[in-house]
Amino acid sequence: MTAMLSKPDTKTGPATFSYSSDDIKKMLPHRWPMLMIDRAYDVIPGESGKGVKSVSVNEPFFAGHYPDHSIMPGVMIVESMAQLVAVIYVAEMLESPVEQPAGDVSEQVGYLGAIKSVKFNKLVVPGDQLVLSAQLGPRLGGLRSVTVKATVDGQTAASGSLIVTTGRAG
Amino acid sequence: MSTTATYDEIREAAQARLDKNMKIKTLIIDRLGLEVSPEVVSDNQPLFGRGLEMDSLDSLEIVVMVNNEFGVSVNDDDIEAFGSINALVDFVEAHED
Repeated sequence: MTAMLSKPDTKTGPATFSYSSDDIKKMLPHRWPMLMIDRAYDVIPGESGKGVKSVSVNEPFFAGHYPDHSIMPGVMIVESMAQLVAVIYVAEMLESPVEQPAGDVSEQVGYLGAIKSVKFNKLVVPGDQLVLSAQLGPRLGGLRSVTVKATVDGQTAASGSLIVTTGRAG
Repeated sequence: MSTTATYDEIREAAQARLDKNMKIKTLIIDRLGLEVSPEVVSDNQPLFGRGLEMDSLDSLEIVVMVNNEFGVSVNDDDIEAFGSINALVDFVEAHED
């Protein structure tokens, strides 16, 4: 099992954890240009958390979306939110007091199963900082429902719900 | 208790059950965006396969809906709840507060 990446934040209530981009690279299999979350915080493993994605003009998708009008594709905002979900999910394995099977935890990250009623309320452009939040909901079999949101300067940029697989089976 | 009162009570209970079945059908159809009218969904129609043709993603949607609407949790061990509309309503009624 990978050693605990971060110490719990000292707050009242359930233990929360923060993860740097270096920590996140040990938790997710994604790499450039598809690593879409820079930092995670207030993570309650297996339950909820927040994250940050700073949007740079150097993002490769701006080259084509669009050449004279740089806006972040909505699906990439969804990807950022989904990667926060994966961090929350992997955190449950990393921070569990129960000994986990040896191996790379990033290999446990599953897939998107459904994108449900996601609304995009605001254009996201270079220089924006997406503040991501995710709350994991009910699970059934290898599927889990999650509600997600992304804000820029306190204004909602995207929100909705996703279904993710809790592993890589099928 | 008079016979008439008992008959009325039974009728009332049967109507309440029909109403609840219709409510669940409507909630499922709305949640899954099915292009079917709740009136044509029978109470014993299977939800999976040749019934409403639901898949595992849809079943999780129903778990979320049942949790939100009735405060009832459905777990992996409760697979019988997805047998039909009647089975789902039976499950909800057995686990509601």
